[in-house]
Amino acid sequence: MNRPRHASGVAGASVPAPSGTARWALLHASRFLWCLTGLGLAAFGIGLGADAAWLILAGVVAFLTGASVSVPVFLGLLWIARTGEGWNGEALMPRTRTTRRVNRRVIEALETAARTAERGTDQLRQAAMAMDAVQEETTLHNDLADAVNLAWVTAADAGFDLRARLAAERNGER
Amino acid sequence: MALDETTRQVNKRAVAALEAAVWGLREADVSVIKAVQPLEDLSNVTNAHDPALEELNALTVRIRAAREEVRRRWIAESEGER
Repeated sequence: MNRPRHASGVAGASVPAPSGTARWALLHASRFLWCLTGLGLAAFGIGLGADAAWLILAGVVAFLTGASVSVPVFLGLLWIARTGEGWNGEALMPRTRTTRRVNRRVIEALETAARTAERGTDQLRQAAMAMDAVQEETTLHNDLADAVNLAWVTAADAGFDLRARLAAERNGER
Repeated sequence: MALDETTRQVNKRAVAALEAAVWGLREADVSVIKAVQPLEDLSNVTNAHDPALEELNALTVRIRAAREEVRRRWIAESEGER
């Protein structure tokens, strides 16, 4: 057949393909823009603080690759999948896993609180014993001894309460 | 003179005991503050344990009051004002 060459192209391909130089320029312009985006992301992430660690990382990776959109996006998705949180700490994946994580934090906090409260109770016991020694010498400070004893009892109550809460959290009752 | 001697000895022992009480209360104060901290962090996550936090805060107030008063009397006793 003797069809003219200009009619044999893809239908609607009226835009001429860019020449080699133009393609090179386009590619490097897009890379340059992507690098700028990466720098911006990283700066934004640093401005937000340690919460936005993945944002900083994504920005740096974007800057370094200079081309691939998929890498930082992949890192971001990985972060979301790992922690279930967005860059602002909001819950993006409210699932059992997040609940469990919260539960673990609750148990850790209660453990610390219970332990320190018990130490405080012990120290208050020592203070109360010291006040007993004071009372053996003089009756002038009986009111103080009462105050210290009251603080001791209150601390013991708080410690028991914290232990009970800890046990309940561990059993999943509460 | 025996009475004077005895009073002074008593005073010395009372001062020492008050000092021990001040020390114990100070340590207890620090401990309770350390116990309050994680519960305050927890308060951002869940309000289930806010009663425990309030309990500890009340305890802090109580300990501080006792500590201040014991310290005041310890200073007074050790200066021989009272």
